[in-house]
Amino acid sequence: MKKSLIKKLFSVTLTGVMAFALIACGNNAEEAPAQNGNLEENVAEEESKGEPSDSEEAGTGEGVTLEWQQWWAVEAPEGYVQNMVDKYYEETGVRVELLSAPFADTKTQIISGVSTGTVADIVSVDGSWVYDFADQGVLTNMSTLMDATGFDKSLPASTWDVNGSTYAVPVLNFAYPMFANQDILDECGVTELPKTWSDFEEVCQKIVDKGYYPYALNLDTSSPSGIQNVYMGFAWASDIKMKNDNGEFDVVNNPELKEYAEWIKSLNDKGYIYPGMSSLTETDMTSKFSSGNICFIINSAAAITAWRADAPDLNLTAAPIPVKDDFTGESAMCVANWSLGITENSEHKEEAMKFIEWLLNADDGGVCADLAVTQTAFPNSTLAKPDYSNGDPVFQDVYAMYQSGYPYNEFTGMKEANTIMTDYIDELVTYMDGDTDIDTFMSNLQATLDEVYGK
Amino acid sequence: MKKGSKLRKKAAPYLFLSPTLILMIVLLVIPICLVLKYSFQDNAIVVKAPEFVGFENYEKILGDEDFWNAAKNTVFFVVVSVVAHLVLGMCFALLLNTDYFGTRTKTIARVIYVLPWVFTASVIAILWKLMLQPHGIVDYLLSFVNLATKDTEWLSSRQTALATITFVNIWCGYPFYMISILAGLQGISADLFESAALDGANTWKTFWNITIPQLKPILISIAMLDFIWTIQSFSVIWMLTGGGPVKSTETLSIYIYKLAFNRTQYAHASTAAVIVLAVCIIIAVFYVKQQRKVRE
Repeated sequence: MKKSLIKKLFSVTLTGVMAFALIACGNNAEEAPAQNGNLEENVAEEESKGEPSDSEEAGTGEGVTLEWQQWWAVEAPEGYVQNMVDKYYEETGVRVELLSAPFADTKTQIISGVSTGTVADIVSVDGSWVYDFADQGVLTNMSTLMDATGFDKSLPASTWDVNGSTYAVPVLNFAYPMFANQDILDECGVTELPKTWSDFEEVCQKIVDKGYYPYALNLDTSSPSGIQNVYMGFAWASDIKMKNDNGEFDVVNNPELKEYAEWIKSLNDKGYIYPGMSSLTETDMTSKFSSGNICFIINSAAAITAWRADAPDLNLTAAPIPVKDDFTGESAMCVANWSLGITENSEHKEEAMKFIEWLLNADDGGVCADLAVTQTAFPNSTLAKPDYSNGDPVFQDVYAMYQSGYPYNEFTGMKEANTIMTDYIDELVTYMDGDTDIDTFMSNLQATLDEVYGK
Repeated sequence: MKKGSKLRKKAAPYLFLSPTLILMIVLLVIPICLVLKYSFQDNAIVVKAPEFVGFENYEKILGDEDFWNAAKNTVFFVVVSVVAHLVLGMCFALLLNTDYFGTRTKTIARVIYVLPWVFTASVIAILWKLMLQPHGIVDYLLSFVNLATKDTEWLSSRQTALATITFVNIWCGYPFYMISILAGLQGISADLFESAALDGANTWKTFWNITIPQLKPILISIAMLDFIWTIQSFSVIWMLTGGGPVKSTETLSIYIYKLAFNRTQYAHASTAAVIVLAVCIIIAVFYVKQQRKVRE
């Protein structure tokens, strides 16, 4: 009898402990332990540090803890972003906890946070999410905050605006130039990089004759960014855009965009483009390039570091994106960004705004400049003066090209950008396969744009 | 005192069950109820106060051309996969159960045949993507027998992509059938085969009149389970084609994912998920009934 009672008591206690553990696991985020290594490391390191050194500088927000959902700490060298926020804590007394996840998971985590009311105060955002996040009330209107906190609006070289209000501020710009495999060019007897579409075609034929593929387009729809970075990136160099002079998306009345699509199709028909483009991801394309199968690709300048590490024998050259034969203007270069927004749910919006301002102006732009040099990117702070003199010579060439043109991306801040990019790819693939004509392609694309923009 | 003791006695089984019940409620019932709720709301998740819209989302999803395209692709993918799994699994199981091979040969063959099932989805996707790429090993081998050119785009052509991902799914799924059927075959009494032989039944007749009826409960069970698993297939398709080219490999799972995470239309994604859930529940009911029959 006694034994039975002890058994029952034990079972009840065990059940209670399990139930308690389950409830504790589901408790709110503030009480729960950090869900990733970075955050745990952050808290531990901060606890081991003393109080902020300069109490005068601390000003408003001292003692506040901001959460920052981002992918930067995953892509930057280990501990780099952590050191940056530690420095901010030392200067201001405001803690910034890093919630790190790969880029591919960040959007999902932001949405999950919004649905449960636990979204971070500051979120790193991609250009293709901004409009939707602003429209859905995920991001707060930063224009109002800038006025309230006395933010120096001349600090960022550019901002991401929706309906005239700023919703995100870029910190770094990643350029998408063209790269070439110099060994293939040498083998094919190409002594000068192609500057125009005609030059490019001529070079392509020489490359094909030697058994290589000249160029690649990544049109996989699981990550539809190939349409902006590569396909439109090539067009923007010749000032061929989807928007008309009134800033409206008008592709159906754009003869240059039609001509560009026809030219790209002709390259594909001649076998100049690597086959299997509709299932080719950016990673596939980059690996084909570094393994010497493809001569030219358009890719982020940040890839230089990876190529140097993974393919040390790759004889890399930065090449200007060839422009239309009669084009004489300034070339645009596709850019992607590391940008920051502040969530509407945040209880510390002003402190979050001050942190963003600090990233741009700390050490007279030095923090932003160092981050840019580390990531082979370009700072968006007007104060930053990055020193690339010790950097990769190919990156220095990219920097020169970047300075001679201007950064551009029509998909940044676009409404339902992912939908439009995916539909654009589907229409382009159908056209490239010869299953539709150019006018149908353009009118279908226009229909998608009109549907999204409610025309 | 007596009353308290009785109550304790009655409560004991529920207390023992409570950890499992709590887990099932938290991990199964609540998520399903939430998805069901979202399917009746407008702009669920992303809007703070979503409105109740009744069956509006269902009307929209059922009227969406892309949904029916995904449903059509899913039917092809599931039916061909399940049938091929069954046929291949049966063939390999019979091969491994035969007396014509020695134990060592059968053990080696068993290890080789089961390998596709051991690989994770990402390994399968990388492996096949490398083999199926233009100028890859598949093109190279098939070009010898004039079945393909060296730059055949298996995953990038709208004509071949769906059949290709179905083939990959068949390849990685048949070992489950093989192992289950083999276990079933080894459980059939040898007396039955001996009696059939004495009655003069040939191999074919023995197979149809003894092997198949004896395996029937297992075959039905694994086919139903496979149907449910295959309808939910996502990882391999996503990593091989992402639903492309031009939605030619977009199954319902890919369609739902794209609605939720590319287009941030969680209400519509939830609606489509509820429709798939309903189909799976119908199959599950048959499965449970079948299991009950077997037990009886």
